[in-house]
Amino acid sequence: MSVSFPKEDLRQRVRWYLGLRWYLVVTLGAAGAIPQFLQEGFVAQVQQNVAIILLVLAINSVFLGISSFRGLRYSVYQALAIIQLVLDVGIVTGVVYLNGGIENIVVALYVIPIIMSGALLGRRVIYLTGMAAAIIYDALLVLDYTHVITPQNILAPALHANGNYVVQTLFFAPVMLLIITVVTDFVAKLVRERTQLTTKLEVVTAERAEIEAIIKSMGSALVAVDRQGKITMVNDAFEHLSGWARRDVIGVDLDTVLPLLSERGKKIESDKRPLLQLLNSDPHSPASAIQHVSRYYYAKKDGGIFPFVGSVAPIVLLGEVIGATTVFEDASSIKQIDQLKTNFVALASHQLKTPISEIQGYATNMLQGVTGRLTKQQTDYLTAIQEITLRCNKLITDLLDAVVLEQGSIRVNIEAVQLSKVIKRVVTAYQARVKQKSLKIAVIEPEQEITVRADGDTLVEIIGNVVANAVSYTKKHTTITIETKADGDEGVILVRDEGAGIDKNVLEHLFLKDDVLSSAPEAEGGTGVGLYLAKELLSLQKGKISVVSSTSKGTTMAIRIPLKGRKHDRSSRSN
Amino acid sequence: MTDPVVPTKTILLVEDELPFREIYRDALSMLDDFKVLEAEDGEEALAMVQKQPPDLIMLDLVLPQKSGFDVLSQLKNDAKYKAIPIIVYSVIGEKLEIEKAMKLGADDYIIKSETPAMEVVNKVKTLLTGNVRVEPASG
Repeated sequence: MSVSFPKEDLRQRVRWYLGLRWYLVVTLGAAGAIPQFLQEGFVAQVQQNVAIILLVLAINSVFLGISSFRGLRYSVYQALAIIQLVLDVGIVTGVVYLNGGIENIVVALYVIPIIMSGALLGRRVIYLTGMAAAIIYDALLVLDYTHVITPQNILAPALHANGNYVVQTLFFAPVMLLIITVVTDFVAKLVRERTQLTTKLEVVTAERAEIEAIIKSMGSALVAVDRQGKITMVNDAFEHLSGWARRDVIGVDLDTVLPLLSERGKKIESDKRPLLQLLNSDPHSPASAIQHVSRYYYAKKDGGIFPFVGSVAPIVLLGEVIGATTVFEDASSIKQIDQLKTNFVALASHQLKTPISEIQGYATNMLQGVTGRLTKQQTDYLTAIQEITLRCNKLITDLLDAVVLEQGSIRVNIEAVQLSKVIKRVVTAYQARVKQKSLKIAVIEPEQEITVRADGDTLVEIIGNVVANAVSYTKKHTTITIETKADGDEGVILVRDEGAGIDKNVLEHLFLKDDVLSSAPEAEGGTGVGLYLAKELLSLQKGKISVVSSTSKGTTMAIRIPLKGRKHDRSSRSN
Repeated sequence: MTDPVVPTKTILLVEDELPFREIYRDALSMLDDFKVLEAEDGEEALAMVQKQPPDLIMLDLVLPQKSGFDVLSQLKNDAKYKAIPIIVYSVIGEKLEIEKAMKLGADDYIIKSETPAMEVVNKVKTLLTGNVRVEPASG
C-alpha cells in the first residue's frame, strides 16, 4: 500500500474515514442504544453508553471539522487519523475494562471503523487485524452457541448478555466486514482518482499559465489569426508596437488592425498578404510554408508606419490548418544601419573613381607619347596598367549600381530603343578589350530593324556585362558572336562564345551576388556583380536572361526584352 | 627642344586637382599650336578669362570657391565670352549633371573616368577646327 501520496489525497481519505466513522457511530449507536434503552434495568448502562457515544461523536466532529481545511500540513491530517484511531482503540479497551468484558455493541461501534480506517488510509495491517479479531469473535460466538466452549472472563458478558446470536454474528460476519473493506477500498480509490484529477488539472493550468506568460513577455510581437483571418491572440510586445490594446483586437479582422504596406506605402490587399495566404497552405508540410518577411511596413493604430522584419507560419492542429501566426520586430534601426552602410559603400566607391581616373590618365598620356618614346616593355606595362584601371572602374560602377539597386531607387526610363544602335554602342565600348585578347566580335542582325521597349543605357550596360563575361570565359583567337532577332513578342539578343563552357557549379551562382567567378579557370577577376546586375536591371524592364553552356559548344547567353508594341507602361520605377 | 611653331591659340584648363591638371596639360601639349593656361578654381578662372579670353575652356564641374556650373552659366550669359567653346568634365558623370551642364550652354562633356585623355584632345581639336579664326599671317 502506498505510504506517501499527495496531501490533498491524504486529506480526502482522512475526511472519508472520519466521515464514514461518524455516520457509523450515529447509526450503530442509535441501533444499539435504543433497544437497550427500551429494556429496563439497563438504563444506567445505556446512559453510560450514550454518554460515551456522544463524547466520541463530539471528538469525531471536531476532527472532521479540522480535516475540512485545505492546505494544512501533511502531518496534521495524518495526526487526525492516528489520534482518532488511537482514541478508538483506547475507548474499546476502556469499555472492555469498565464492563468487565467486551460489550458487543461497543465492539461493533469501534471495530468496524478501525477496519475502515485501515482500508481508507491504506494500512492493510490495521484492517486485517480488525478482520481477524472479528472472525475470532464470530468463531467464539458460534462455539459458545453450540456449547462447544464455555468462554471465561472477558468474553463472558458479551456472549451471554444478549441471546441474540444472529444479530451479533451478522455484525461480525467476516463477509460483511469484507464488504465494508471492499467498499471503503473502492471509495479510497475514487478519492485518489479525484485528487489526482484535481492535481492534474492544477498542473495543466499551471503549465498553460506558464506558456501564456512566455508568449506575453516575448520580446518580439506575436499575432495569431484563425481561418477567417480574425485575430485570436496577441502579446504585450504587439500592444507596444502597434498601439492597440489586446481586448480591442481579439476577434477583429487582421487588415483592420494591422494593415500591411509596401515600401512605397501602398496597402497590400488581403488576398496578396503573406500571412493570410498561408491559411491555404498544405497542412502536411507546414514548415515549407514558413516565410521570412522584410521590406514591408505595418501601420500602427495612430497611423504611423514602421518597417519590420519577421516571419509567418501556418498553425496546424490534428492535420488541419486552423490559422496562422506572425512574429515580427521593428526594423527601423536595422534599416537605418543598412542605409548608412549603403551610403558608405556608395560614397567610398565614388571616391575611388578619382584616383583610378588619375592613374588611367597618366598611363594613357604616356602611351600617347607625351613623355617621349617608349620601349616595348614600357608600352606593355602601361597597357596593362590601363587595362587594369579600366577593370577597376567597371567594378566600381557595378558596385555603385548594385548599391543603388538595393536601395530600390534605381530608375529605368522605358522607351522605344533600336537594337542595332544598342549593339553598336556595346561593340564600340568593348572593341579595345576584345582586341587585346585577340578576339573578334561578330554581329548578326536581321534586315529589319528590331525595336524594343527598354531603357537604352541600361540595356547597353546589361549586354556589356554579358559580353564582358564572355570575354572572361572564352579562349584566345575565337569569336564572340552577338546575334539579334525577334521571337514572338520579344526581342532576343544572343551572346555566344567559343569558350570551354561554364562549370555547372558556377552556373548556379552566375546570376547571384556572390563572387564565384574567381574560381573559374580563366577568370579575369570579373566583377562578381556584373551578371547579377544584368539580371536585376533586366527584370526592371520586364526582360529575362538565361544561359546555356557546354564544354564543347561554349556558352550562349540569351537576353530577352519585350518588343515595342507589346503592352507596357511608359516609364517605371523599381518596386 | 626648339619648337618652331609659336602657339597661337590658348586653352584655359580649369581643374583643382594636380594630377588631372598634369594629365590634361600634358595631353593637350601634344597639340602643337596650343598653349595651355591653368586655373585652380572658379574665381581664378573668371579672372583669367577677363584678362585674356582663351580659345577654349576645359572646365571641371567640381571646383572650390565657385562651382563649375556657376562659372559656366556666368560665361555663357556674358555676350563677350559666350562664343568660347567650353568642355565640361567631371568624375561624377551622372546623367543629371551632364544634362544640367548642357542646358547651361556647355559645348561638350567628358566623363573623366571613362574618357582617356587623348580622346579629350580629339574633342578639343574637333571643337576648335570648327572655330578657326582668321589670323593675320604673322605669328
